[in-house]
Amino acid sequence: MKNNTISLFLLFFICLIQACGTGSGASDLVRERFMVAEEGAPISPDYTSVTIPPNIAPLNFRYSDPDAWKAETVFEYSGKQLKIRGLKVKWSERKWKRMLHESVGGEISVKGTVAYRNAPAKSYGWKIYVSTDPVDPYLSYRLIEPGYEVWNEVCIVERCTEDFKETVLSSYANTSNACMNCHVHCQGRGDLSIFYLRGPNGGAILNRDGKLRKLSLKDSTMISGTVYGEIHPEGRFGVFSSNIIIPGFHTFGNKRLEVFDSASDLCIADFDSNRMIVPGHLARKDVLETFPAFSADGDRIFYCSADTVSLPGDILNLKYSLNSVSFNAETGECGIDVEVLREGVSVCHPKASPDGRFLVYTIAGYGTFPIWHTECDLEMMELGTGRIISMEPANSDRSDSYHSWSSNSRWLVFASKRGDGQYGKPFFCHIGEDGSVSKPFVLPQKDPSFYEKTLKSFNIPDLSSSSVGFGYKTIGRIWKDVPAEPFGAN
Amino acid sequence: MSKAAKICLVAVCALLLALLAAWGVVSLRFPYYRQYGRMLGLSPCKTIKYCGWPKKDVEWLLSMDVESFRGDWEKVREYSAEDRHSMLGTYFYNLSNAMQGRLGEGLMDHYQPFERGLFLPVNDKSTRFAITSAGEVWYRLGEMTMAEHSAILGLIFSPEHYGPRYLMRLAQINLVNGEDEAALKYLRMLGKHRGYRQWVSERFPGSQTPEVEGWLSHMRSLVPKKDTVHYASDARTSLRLLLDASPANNMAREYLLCYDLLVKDLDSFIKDYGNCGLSARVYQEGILIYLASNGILSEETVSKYPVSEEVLSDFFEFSDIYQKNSGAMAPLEKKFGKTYMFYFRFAKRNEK
Repeated sequence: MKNNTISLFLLFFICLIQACGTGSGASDLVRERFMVAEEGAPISPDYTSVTIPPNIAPLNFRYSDPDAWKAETVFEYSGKQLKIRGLKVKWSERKWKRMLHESVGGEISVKGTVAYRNAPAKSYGWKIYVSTDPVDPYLSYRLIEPGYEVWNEVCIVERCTEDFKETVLSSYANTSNACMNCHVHCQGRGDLSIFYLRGPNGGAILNRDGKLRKLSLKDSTMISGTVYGEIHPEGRFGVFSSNIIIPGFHTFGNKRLEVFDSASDLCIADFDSNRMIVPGHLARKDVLETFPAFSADGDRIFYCSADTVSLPGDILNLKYSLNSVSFNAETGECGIDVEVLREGVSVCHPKASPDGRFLVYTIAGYGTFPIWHTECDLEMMELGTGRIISMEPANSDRSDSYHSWSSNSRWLVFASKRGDGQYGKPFFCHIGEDGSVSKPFVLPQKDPSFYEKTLKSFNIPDLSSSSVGFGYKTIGRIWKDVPAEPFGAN
Repeated sequence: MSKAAKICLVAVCALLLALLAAWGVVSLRFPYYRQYGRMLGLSPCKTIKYCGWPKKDVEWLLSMDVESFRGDWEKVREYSAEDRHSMLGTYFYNLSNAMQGRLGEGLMDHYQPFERGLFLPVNDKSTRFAITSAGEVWYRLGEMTMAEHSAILGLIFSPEHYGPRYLMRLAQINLVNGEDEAALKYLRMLGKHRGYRQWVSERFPGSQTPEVEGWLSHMRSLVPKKDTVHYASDARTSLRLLLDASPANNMAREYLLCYDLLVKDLDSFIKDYGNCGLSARVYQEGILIYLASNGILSEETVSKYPVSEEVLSDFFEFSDIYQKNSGAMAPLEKKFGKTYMFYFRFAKRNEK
């Protein structure tokens, strides 16, 4: 009887130690004794070994192991230590900012200990590198269900990357459920951006020096209204493509939608004189021209082009090359000589870094709509040398596309469908002076489970150094009361 | 508590009880309203806001939709057998027949608005209800791209942009496609709803029940093995690819043949028919019309197909009456009103 009592007492004591070792209040000695060191921390979102800007919002995360019972996470930085208990690691913004402030240019060592009810605790270690380069504090995107070219109740949102504040720039509720898309800034400038409101009262909303205009960017010579485009750094001109877009469906289930153009041309919009310029050599019937973008100095236009093929049957042979032509910012004219920069793959969405050194674009096996292409990756070109730089650390086995540069050229945000393969999420990666690319991290959210619960895609994420300064009420008024300014032919 | 506050409290409680009782009555008289609302994750008020005040017509549509999603084809057939000349009613009627292997057999017993009774059109004129229902046939056929398209569209146009029904279907589609990460996302979300946990646990990748594994293996045998890009309206390409992948997919074959017949494309019908040997009366009539209209109707050519004496005799009788009356419809309607010959001659497309 006595022996049994002692055994029971010992068993109770061992259980107690084990429980303590996995939870709060246990001594380090006991914890180490029962802990198994592991690699690959089971945290969601994955913030292990990432490089982050010194002004980013708190990287809240959770331990995703379904059997985990308790957890303790220790952050070590500049000789200090900060401990957070719980399976959800949610920061106070004040403490997070202080930690980042003291870690700029250095690293934060993180040690996570996860306890289980019926198994030994496990420990994980990882680092977070804090860059000296800040990221633009504003990110705009469209929230929409995964892309089927169909919408209902769409919003364009501006999110502060330094905290979790969101401002609705344009809402379906104020525009009679009109479709809206592609809010893009010129070189990350909050005072120079453009987006579209579609439908009867629609038009391109140009935000220039704090003044909003609604423009009808179409003339009788164009095949359609403008679709993709960018504003010239000086603000007077914009370069656009006009596309006749046709959706098609793959029969392989996970390839889903393929959108292609039956025709597409380039055009220049002169915002000062309300005229459209359609350069004949960039609006050929036998060539599909699309995705135009200005170089950082505005002296060149990058764009993609492909010879027409029979669609949708020959879609696999539809490959867009990356080209450039000169641009005269005095007259709005484009040069005749076309320089081919990249071919052999299908190139989309070229975007030049504001410092003029790099050009990032997406490459896919074929086509012009890579958001469902699992092979779609980002690629970078050093413009001075033409050297192609792999962006492998940033790419995934799913579509990585629709990128945008931070105004200091050190950060890139892009939409990636990594993980579930279906929902685009904004990922940031650091671009070094030498073109080195860091492991990307997803835009932090207040709720660490946010991305697991949302059924919306983050569409066309675009960075800016300042807020655009308008909101959905203003846009609603413009949509309702302001007629679109007509544009004429050159 | 003051007297006024007490009166207010009693009034609020009475109102809530009255609302509860009203919903109880609605649920008893219109059970599919409640079930449809639950599938879409809607409260009673939102169900009424979304579906309108309970009406028998709407209850009828909801009954077919709910039961087809559940896969109770006997009930779908029972509800849809009543011919109300409704495109949605025909869609469910055809689907329930197809699921029971008798699409061709029952085709002409019911109003047929051309191919739109086989595949509901999804466009800017479609109702939210039709958009949500349109994917059911594609899912059952094994065409996961179109089924997923419809599920996502349903989600987009649903009042909450959310709902267990869509999560279930998207989880199923992604499991079939081998997209486990996406399936897990939907399963986890669904697992948060009481009443779905068992369903979720049976399908969780890595711990699927033998029944679910069997279903998965069956569904995967149906999906197209060859990729091509086609327009949303091009149902024939999808059906042909389904048949390429699985020649035993009789549902796809019947949908293809009935599609050809309903759009009156007999050249495609005869090619798609090949030597499949399906002998529903509607196919026999299609074969005879093809042979006759190409001037090759003979004992020899007819003998290559499973055409019965009875159908052949009816065909000649139909042709005689048609010619004698200079193509008038009335003399033929009584005896031949529910035949393909009659449809072929007289059915006109209503573009409204």
